[in-house]
Amino acid sequence: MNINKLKLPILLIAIVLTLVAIYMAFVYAPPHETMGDVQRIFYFHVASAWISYLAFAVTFVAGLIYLKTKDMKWDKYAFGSAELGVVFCTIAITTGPLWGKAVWGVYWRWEDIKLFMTLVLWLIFIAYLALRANVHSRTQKANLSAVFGIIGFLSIPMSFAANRIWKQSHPTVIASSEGSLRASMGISLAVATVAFTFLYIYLLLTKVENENLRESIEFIKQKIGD
Amino acid sequence: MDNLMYLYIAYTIIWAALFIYILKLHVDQKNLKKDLELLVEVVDGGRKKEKEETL
Repeated sequence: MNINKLKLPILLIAIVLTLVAIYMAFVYAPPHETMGDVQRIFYFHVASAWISYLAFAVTFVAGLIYLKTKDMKWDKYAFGSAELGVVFCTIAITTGPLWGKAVWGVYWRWEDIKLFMTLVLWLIFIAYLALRANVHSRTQKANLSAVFGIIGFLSIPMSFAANRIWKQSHPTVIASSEGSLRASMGISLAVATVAFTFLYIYLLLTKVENENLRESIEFIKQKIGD
Repeated sequence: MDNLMYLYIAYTIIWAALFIYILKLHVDQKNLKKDLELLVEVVDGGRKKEKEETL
């Protein structure tokens, strides 16, 4: 089955779920007791952060498979997913400080390990994209970026676990006891995350399709050159 | 600044970033398809010319 045939249904599901998630974030979920309406930033901020983790995890797995099989298909998935990870991570690290300014009174807290590690993760994958743009040999590009993607992924557990280990100012979304969300808030967050997951899958398939087209063009150009 | 202003800015950033990225992907795809079609035409045209010259 051609995976690209799934693109349209996936896009439609993503659009419907996103509209439902917006409704839930603004109407279904109540305002937070202490933070008020500004807490509603959280639904798509957390969903974006989760999707960036997922995207970098896909880069990690696809990079490993590429190194084992040397099949360029996996390099395209790794690259596409890294680019999407950067997009979603950019959303997370720009919306987070807006929430921080409203609640803490400052945009950024350098002493917060979670914020710092997320920034490091974002910079690592910006460097990954810069590296790919500047290496011209196709095989070298794929090998280097697979290794870089695997090393970059290693900072995710640190970013994810930082506020659980050091109990810092960044809120812990999924907590075992205190700090847990109200049910309606948790459901709204879950719907936003699922909506963004479908959007991520759609965008990844589109990105890989573009890379396939780019490869075909390069192949024909080389043939003409020969 | 009013707290709701931060909410408004955050949602503007989220949807603007996604819209720009989706638009970029689709514009890229359209241009790549056009380039590929053009190259295929050039290659086919070259082959046709070669054939005619051989005959």
